[in-house]
Amino acid sequence: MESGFYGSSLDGNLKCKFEESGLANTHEIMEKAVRWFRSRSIFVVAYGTGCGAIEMPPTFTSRYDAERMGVVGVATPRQADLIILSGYLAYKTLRRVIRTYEQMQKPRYIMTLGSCPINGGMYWDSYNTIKKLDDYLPIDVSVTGCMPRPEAVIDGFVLLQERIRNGEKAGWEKYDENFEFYKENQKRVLGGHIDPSYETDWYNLKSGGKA
Amino acid sequence: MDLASKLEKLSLELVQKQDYLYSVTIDFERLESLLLSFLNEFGYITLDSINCRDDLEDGFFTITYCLQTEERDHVVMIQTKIQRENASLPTMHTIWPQAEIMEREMHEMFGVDFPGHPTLIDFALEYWDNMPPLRRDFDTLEYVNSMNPFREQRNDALDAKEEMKKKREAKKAAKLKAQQEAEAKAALEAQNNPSDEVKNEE
Amino acid sequence: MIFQIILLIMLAYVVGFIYFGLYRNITARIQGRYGPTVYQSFYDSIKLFSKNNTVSYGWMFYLGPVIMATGAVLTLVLVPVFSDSDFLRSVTSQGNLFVLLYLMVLGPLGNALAVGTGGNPFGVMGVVRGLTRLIGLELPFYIAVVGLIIAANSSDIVHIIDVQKTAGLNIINHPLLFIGAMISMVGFFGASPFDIPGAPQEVYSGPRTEFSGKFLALLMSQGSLFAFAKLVLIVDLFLGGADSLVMLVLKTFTIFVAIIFIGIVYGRYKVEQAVDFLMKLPTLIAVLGLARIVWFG
Repeated sequence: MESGFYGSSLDGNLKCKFEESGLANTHEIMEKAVRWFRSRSIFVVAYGTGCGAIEMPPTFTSRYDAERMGVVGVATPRQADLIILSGYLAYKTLRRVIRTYEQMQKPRYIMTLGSCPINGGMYWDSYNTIKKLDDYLPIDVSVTGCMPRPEAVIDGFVLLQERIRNGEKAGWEKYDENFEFYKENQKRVLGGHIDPSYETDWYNLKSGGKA
Repeated sequence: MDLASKLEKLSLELVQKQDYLYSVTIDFERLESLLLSFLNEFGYITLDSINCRDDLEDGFFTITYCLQTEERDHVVMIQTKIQRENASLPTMHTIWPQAEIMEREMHEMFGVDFPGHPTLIDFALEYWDNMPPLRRDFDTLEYVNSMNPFREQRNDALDAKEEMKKKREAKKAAKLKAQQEAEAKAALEAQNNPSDEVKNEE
Repeated sequence: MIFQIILLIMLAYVVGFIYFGLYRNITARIQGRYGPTVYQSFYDSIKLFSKNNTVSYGWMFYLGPVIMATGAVLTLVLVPVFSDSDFLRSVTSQGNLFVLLYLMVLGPLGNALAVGTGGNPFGVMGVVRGLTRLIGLELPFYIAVVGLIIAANSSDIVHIIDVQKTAGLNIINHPLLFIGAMISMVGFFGASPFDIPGAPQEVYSGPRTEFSGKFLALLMSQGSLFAFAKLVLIVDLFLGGADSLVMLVLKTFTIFVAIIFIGIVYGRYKVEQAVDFLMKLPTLIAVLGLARIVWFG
């Protein structure tokens, strides 16, 4: 159990305490239990980019009902565990997605739908679309297809649940470890402007849009 | 039609494209006054869209203003040509407010300047510092390859043609083998009980 | 006494979460899907408690959920759970209905302070919506409670339960008050048509927008505690309390299912529509009930 399971700050302390008191086994059991609860309760923020957004409503509503596996949609990234990116990502979108992903609390996971985040898909020669999302953000599950049916999306949820339950190394840990690599790639494409600037005054665009 | 005769007075030709669609070609100097007279005198009050076409070989942009009547039964396309280098157009946002965002898009995609336009800022792109992407001298493929290289091919990727060939040959061989086996079996059976063969022949 | 309080909180926690699991399950069945397990709210709560928290807006932001939880726990402790026995009734004699009514508003106020510190516009919008709605919600409920106090000639909940043993249940004696109180109870539970503060399609999660991980878990827990306390309060006031755990679960569950069904059938009001409605029909019903008590006994 190398992975920072309780989040980066708590894990070391807790583990040491347990080992000092001769309860290293308890720590493992606790980890297993918490992992199980995590796999049973996944809050999703569905970031609808591209055409895949249309597959999300049937996945979460009566027809396919992802809630029976504990997968529920939430409204804000603060509460979410999983972000679903459902299609191609323009540079403009990538900025927002990075911002959204970094607002999510650890542990956090990414799932992509379709072939566009993998190799650009049919937008491979667009001047404004990225080709390989895994250069910029760590992906946990890629559901392929153009577009994947809700059954495939649910299959992706099951795969993610298994991975969480088995304690496999998750994407957010890779992101923390290779932070420099990801940031470098993001900077290369986005030209250093990673966050949308706070300076744009949306209410007074006529004065040049600068606050 | 009276529009044609009105335009004839201005020494312009009205070309009918479809039964509701007409086009007028005009030089750049008279564009603004013609647009105003279409609005005020001819009753074409709505600006549908402003389009731009890049004629790289001839060295100019073709700009098309689509105007529509209040009854929505006639559309006129007013075409004009401007130089590609330092392209500039009069802004129409004071007359048609919707022109503001159309001109903003054209500025971003083709680099056409609109003096006096209040919001020539980013429209769909953000922080774009290259050549405007819809100009035809912008090499999209080269730009894409420099920004987003292809994913490296997987090592286990196989040549589809050869694989299919192998598959077909294997299938053929299996078929041949089965046939030979069946023949041998039949020959063996014929040897064992020749009476059956006679019956079959009957 | 401490032991009893802890036991009460644990009971409320378990029952409240199972009720919320049932709420989700029943909703799912009505919508024609399988729905989550009954224990789904437990899973969510434990997962949220095990999450990291890196959001910081100063100490007032952290204090908000704590104030809400304080309000919920105090309300819970002051409501007598069983009608006959003194069990789990540790500090009930210290408070009466007036204290309870004050404590029920403590949560929203604490929330408002915290969300204001967070500065998220959706959170602030949610809080403003919630407080506006509260104006409408409190009116019929308070009138109904005043009616009950006049009828029982006491503001002590235990006394109100005792009166019901001889004079009959309040739901039969004062049905108008019950209807008025129930309509505002639907709002107190955050069910449609009064689910204005956290309206998901309008203001994201409303006041909860900026809360994550452990604080969200705390908010969920206090929500279930508070829900249980309110259900027990309604049972005490109108259904004569419960003399055993079975009766308690039966009565509270009946009220709860009624609220679920009302919530599923109706769509959401706008803020001003909700206040308008609550100021008119339920208030009128409650006032009629009050008038009946004042003039006809």
